[in-house]
Amino acid sequence: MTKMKLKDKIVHYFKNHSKGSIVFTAVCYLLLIGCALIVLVPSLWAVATSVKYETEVLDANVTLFPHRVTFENYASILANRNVPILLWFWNSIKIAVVYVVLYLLIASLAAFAFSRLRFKGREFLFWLGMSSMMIPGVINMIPNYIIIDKLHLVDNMFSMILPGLGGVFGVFMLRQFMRGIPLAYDEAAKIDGASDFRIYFHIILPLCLPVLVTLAIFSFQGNWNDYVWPLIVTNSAETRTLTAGLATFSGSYAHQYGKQMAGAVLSALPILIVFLAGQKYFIKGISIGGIKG
Amino acid sequence: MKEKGEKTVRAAKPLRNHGKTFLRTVQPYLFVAPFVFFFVLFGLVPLVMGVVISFTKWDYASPMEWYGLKNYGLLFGVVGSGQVAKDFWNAVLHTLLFAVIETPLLIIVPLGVALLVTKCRWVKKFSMGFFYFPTILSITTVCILFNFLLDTNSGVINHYLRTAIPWITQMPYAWISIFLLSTWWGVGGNMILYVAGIANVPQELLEAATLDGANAVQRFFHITLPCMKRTMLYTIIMTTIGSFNMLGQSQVLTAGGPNYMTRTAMMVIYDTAFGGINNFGRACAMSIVFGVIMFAFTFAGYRLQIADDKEGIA
Repeated sequence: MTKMKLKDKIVHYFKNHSKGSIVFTAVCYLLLIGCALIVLVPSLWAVATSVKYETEVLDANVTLFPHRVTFENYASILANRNVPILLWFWNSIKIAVVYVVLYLLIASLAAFAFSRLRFKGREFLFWLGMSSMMIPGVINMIPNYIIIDKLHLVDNMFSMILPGLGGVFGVFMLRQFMRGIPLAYDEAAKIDGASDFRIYFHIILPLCLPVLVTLAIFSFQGNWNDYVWPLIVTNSAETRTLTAGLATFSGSYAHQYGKQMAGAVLSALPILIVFLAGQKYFIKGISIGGIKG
Repeated sequence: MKEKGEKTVRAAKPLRNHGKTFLRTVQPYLFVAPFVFFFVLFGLVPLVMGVVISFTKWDYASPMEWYGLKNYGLLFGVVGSGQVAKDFWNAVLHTLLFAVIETPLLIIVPLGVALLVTKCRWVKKFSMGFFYFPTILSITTVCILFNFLLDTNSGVINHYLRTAIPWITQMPYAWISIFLLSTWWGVGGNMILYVAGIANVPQELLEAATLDGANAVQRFFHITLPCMKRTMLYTIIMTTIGSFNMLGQSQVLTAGGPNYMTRTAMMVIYDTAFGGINNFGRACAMSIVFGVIMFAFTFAGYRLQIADDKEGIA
């Protein structure tokens, strides 16, 4: 197909579709715009409110756009040592990234063994893991706190990394994908004298890239959004993650919505930048690997 | 670690046969060792601990005291005044209410949005990213945002509706607010999976059905949906689990109120274990009872998923 100008495209479209289908498409676009507004309007209000003076926010005739723009809400939040939002953000990123890297490594190593190597107890171990996936995590919550405390990891970033490394889901997902890779690859490599680790690292792992991306996204989000666990294993404000740290935020700025929204925007902005930067890979990753789960 | 192991094999070439057979038997275990270590330490050991602790009276500071089945007796209202049982089961009921309403919402709404996104293909890529945006936010960020939007006097929603509804402080609005927030926040995740699922439906099937005279609704229910079986199963299980574990919304937005009406099971367990007095024994018993309820709701789904996995082998 030759490249068409937008105008030609539109003309082409109207020529090739019946009246009914054009109306239907138009309705769909309108509905989509409606849905988009539901997402957009609250976000706009948050940004707009964050740059308003508190008196204006509480005004009965409040409008979306601020009469006078101020950044004092941001300044006062950033100066408040009890709510170190940027530090929380840094903690969250640090913990989530270390967790995802370790988790992908551990889960893919195990999935490789479960899908391609033969060893005694393989079926039993896998079966054990699968069955434990069905057991709700809430049962482990309190005992895990005790284990973390006994390991002297309370208030340590590893308390929010290590427990998740025993997760079964990633192993399950990766094993399923690896089973789809022909064994002929391994055999060819073995004849060339490659060790199992080499086969894992140089052949299987690169082929698993789409699932690894998906799994990375899911585990990153799971860790990032974990709310209750960081609350349990941290005592001081400095070691908290963003999700847990902000739990008491509205309370400390009761009815000061300008400052509350400044906090919300500050907490959303960094992850939004990360998301926008990696959006292409992100959506592709979910689309390719997600369906296999 | 593993890299080192590989190098030693090379260095020991003269002893190849010996070294290799030994390595062949041991190596698989080295591959699974890290996973098994963490799985046992943070998956199996706590499970056993949880069961044991649930039979004790323990505040973590003083020595453990054997309590028999008393914790469970309290939870089922057989022992004591029944207040503990009442609090717990009310919270479980609230959680069930949330799960039963929110799970279908987070399946149907994202499916609708996914269909719209697929249909509007000129903006498909952009809208996928756009509708995913709320999902990347922390639950606490979303709660702060909605705390403002839903404020009785200066909130945006009352401003637009020209009402003065006490969204957060009165029933049934408090629950409506939680549903609103959870849906706004959660649509993106399942939506993206559904868009991917819809894109994977074989085009030939849809075309053949159109030729046979099937309309859009028939095509959706008889072709698109069955082709998305795996995605649907996965999202239903995950969304159900997520709904059962709901805590942030109740704790940050409504603080369990008004009058404890939005307290969830997770919240009661959390408060029992970490809210002032560490009543670990009772909290563990609660976790187990609640865990069993959750298990009952998700078991069927898991069985289907594992059966699906086994099908793959054959």
